Amino acid sequence: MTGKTIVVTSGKGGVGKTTATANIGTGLAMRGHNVVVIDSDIGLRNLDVVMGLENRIVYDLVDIIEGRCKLNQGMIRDKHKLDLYLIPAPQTRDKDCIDPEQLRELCQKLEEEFDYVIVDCPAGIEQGFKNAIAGAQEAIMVTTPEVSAIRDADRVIGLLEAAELHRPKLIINRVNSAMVKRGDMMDKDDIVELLAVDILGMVPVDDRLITATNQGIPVIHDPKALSGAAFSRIVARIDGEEVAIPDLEPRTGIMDKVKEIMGIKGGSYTHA
Amino acid sequence: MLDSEVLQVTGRGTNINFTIDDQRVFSDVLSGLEAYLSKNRHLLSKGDVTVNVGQRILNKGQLTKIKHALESGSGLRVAQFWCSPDVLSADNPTDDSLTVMDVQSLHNSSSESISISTDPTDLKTTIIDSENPHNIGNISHSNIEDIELDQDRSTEGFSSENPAIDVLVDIPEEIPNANGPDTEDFSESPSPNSKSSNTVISQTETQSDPGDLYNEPIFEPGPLELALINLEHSIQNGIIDDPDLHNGISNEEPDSFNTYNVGFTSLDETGQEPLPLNRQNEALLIKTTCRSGEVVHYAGDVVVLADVNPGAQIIADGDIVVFGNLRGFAHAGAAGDLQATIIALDLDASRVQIGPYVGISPKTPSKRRSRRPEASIAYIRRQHIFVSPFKGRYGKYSGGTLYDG
Repeated sequence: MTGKTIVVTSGKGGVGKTTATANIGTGLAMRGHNVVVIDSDIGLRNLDVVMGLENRIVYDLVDIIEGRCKLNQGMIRDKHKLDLYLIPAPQTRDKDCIDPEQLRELCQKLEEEFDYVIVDCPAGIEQGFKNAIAGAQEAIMVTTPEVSAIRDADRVIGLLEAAELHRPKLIINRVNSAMVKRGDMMDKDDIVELLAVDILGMVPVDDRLITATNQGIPVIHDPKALSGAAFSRIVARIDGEEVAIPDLEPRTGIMDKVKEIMGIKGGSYTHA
Repeated sequence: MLDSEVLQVTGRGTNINFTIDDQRVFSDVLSGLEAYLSKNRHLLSKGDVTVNVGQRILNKGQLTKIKHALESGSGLRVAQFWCSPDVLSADNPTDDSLTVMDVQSLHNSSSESISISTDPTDLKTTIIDSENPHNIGNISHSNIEDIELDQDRSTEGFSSENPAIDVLVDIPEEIPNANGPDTEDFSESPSPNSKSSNTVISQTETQSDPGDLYNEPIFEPGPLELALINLEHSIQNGIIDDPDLHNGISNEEPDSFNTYNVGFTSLDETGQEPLPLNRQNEALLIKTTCRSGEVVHYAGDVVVLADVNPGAQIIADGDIVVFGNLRGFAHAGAAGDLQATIIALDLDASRVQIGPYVGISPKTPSKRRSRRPEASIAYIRRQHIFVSPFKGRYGKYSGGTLYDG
């Protein structure tokens, strides 16, 4: 079995790389794939917290790379009993303790066992970024509809292209459709036009996502959450399905909520 | 700014000047230069530098040594040597010493075919007295006629783009400026003829220049100090060592020459078409989006068939044309060409630069986003950058938006 390695990156910090990694990894596992997620943010790990696996960490990424444990000892299985494994980052080391070649070798080894290897990239464009993208065949850019995040995303796309990672896919996180409607926030078309990349999906701003993150349960498990639904669509697109990207309209009334719960399309969404 | 004992480095980005101490013994200078470079190599990346040798008279071998010291092991390329204008006015023995020369001639100097002409009759020099600026037009025109122009070769271009010798002279503001005739049509300007291989036009603009640079001819009297020099063999040899030339220029206005840049056109492989100094003949074509952090530096025209995103930089010695949205920083005429323009299908940059002039868009980012895209051209007029809807390359632009923030 030969899987593929996808790096989730953004440039700017705090746009939702880790949340996206956790949800994409969980979503792919929920669709029956064999998935491993790697936290490459050495020294500032938090993918384990988002996935609720913090208290199970014994070995970490650097232990695997430096041979202090076997590969399967360092991988933590997801608590929902999915075919989902986490390789956490060490908290007490820094990004210079591994080099890109070591991570590339690890990814190649994991690709033999897993369908998807998803690497959570640290913020910035320094050593940690270079490590994280080393083993990847595809890249997912996460950005928010803010000028600063888009500026950084543009820079990172340039660096990815320089590293032969062409045509990264774009996730626009924290879209506030009410603000977009008022013209106070850049809309999807503005961002896609500026960054000149394919869009993978849009995730609305959602209180439930924050709640889920704090509980250590990826929001994709929550059927009621708009953001979880958005991540489900993103995962389906990664998996090769053709799913339209809906314009995220604010829900107006209780009936829309009912329709959403009952799974009736339309109503709160108008398809683009 | 970096200082060392023998070397003073000024400028940043792409305009780096190395000023070499001119009092010390040459060997000290060379060793000091090497010590400085070995210490500060990490500060310097690829690029062209101009070396100012000050008062010193250097021969070809010494210039080659300096050039070699600067270029070896670094990405630097010595583009020009400068010297103080006072050197040229002094009674220095110029017969066997090269004062200022183009780097190209250093390359050529190893070739046996190069002969150094010291015959003063090879040089025809015309000096325009800046105290009688009204004469300039006549003098320059008559000289143009005197010089046998090769019309076939002079297809286009401005004098400042095609200087066989580029004599840049900074003149203090107290020098009288006359408002000469400024109605001459651009196409009738003699400047397009200046591509002739043996015509040398130098031009300087004073701070009090009242003219409209974009629409007016190069030979406008008053603000432009002109020196037409007919060099025949000397240009081909890439060497200027004629005492008449030195004395002629410096004796007229010995105190008003602050900087004095003499560069040379070098012949290309064919030996036919003279190229401007360090200027690429072909435009650079970029087909991908220029993203944040990317810097394109090209000694010629640049054409981008995509967007230039915020944070990207396009620095061209010639014009910049963007068939897309220009949101990044564009600097046309980076080598000092004031006729350079920036054209974009959607000129959305908050800051553009042409030559030394910086234009700040008066529109706020949110207003820029809501307006309709329109092909625009940025150009210099009255020492400011204006932006007008684009109507054609040589159209007369007026009434554009002033980019001064």
